[in-house]
Amino acid sequence: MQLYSFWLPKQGMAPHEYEDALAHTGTGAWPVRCAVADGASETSFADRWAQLLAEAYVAGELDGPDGLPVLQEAWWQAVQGRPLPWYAEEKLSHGAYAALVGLTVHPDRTWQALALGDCCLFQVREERLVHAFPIDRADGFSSRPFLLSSRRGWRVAQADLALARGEWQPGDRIYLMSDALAAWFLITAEQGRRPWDALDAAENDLIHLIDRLRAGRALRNDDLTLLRLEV
Amino acid sequence: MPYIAEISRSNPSCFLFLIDQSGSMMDNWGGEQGKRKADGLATIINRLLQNLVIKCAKSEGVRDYYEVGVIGYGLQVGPAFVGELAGRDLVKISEIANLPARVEERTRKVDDGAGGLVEQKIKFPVWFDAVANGGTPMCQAFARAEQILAQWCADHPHSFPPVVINMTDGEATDGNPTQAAESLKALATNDGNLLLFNVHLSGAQVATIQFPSGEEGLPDNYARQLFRLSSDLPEYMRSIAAQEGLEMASGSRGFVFNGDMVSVIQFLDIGTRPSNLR
Repeated sequence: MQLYSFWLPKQGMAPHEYEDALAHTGTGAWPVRCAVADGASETSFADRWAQLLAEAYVAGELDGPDGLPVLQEAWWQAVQGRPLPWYAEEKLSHGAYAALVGLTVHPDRTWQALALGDCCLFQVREERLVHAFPIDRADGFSSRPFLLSSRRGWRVAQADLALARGEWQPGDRIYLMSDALAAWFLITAEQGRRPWDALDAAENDLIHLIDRLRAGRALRNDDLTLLRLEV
Repeated sequence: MPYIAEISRSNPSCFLFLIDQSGSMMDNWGGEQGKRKADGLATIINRLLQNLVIKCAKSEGVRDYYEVGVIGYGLQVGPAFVGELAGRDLVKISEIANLPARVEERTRKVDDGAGGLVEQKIKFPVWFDAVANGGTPMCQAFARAEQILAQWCADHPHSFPPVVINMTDGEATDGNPTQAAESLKALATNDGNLLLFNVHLSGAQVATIQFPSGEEGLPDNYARQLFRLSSDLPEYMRSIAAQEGLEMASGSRGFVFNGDMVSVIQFLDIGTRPSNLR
């Protein structure tokens, strides 16, 4: 099993302004867990929230109903307590928001995934896209997604949480990615092409592929995160 | 295709507010006893500025996605900021954030996240005070805006074009403003023409009309004239408005009768905005 990850801030932004996050257990033991989260850029301290969510998923801390309140408290403790100007105080009261997709791969050749928002999972088998989750059409993206909130007391309804299960075969590739790359992936696949080939071929030089796609407006300028698992 | 330029710190956009400060703004707003149009307008403009700042605020400070100006027209035509920003035409949004004339403390009821409401103290910054004095030199205000924004467009040829929001009770006293408005709307960047939106504050007891696509239903000649002066909302803005739950017909114009235009701030994207953030 091989695991590869890549991230890049929005063009024009510094690395410390990157607000996506990724986390994984590594591939040394079962189950293998990995996650990608995307902090909403119009909210503040969203990078911290995205990181907390991705790490909590991987640690199994989001498996039960008590996981989210604990994380919301952790976010609040991390960001409060310092004197802030009026606008930062106001923004902080809105909370941070993030999308999350998490994947757990089991040794019995099954996997399960959880998602809220527009971070996506794609499973490719023998040059065919066999699973797209939770968004399966390129026109399913918007700049106003429903996201996980860090506000204490905010609860996620089961109906808003997307869950999926699947099976894997040796040689399958499973990709987790944040929304801009996921939208490009689905558009390309809908055009009958194989976006996974472009990503795999450029693995050592992904930054140039991304630059080219952004320059040609094929890829929206946004923070970008990719995690690829070859099982 | 116009109106697609990404708004960023290296490629900012611009909001210019034109504020009617004429003597007639002393009149009641919407027939409501005790509430003057000038006071309503001061609240609207302070809320607009506050919302713009908060939209651009991040944990490390405020990102300069916009330059902003407030031009008043009444006894005089000129910059209307009070406090440290007084006398300046266009300032960066971070300067607006850090230099309000004063910060008042108010209370509001907010969602407690569990289905109830709690009272919360909030800081309410003020950059602009109510003024009502003199005539309504709207033609001069449009000309002043053109002068300021011609330079801005020359300096920012690739930016999303400026948005001008004119707020008035509708009666220009220095002539027909049509020509001055058309001349202003002719300004452009590579991304499209300047957008001129109008807010009509009327004494008539008529409910708010937002972004109409025709003159039918507008209550008087001044409203109809301001509607005609208003730019069409670009398809890009209408699509974001639809995502915000506000469906608009093709041909909808940037015109609001007896309301505010705070929602327009959300029609311009600077990043992901959660649909459940309210």
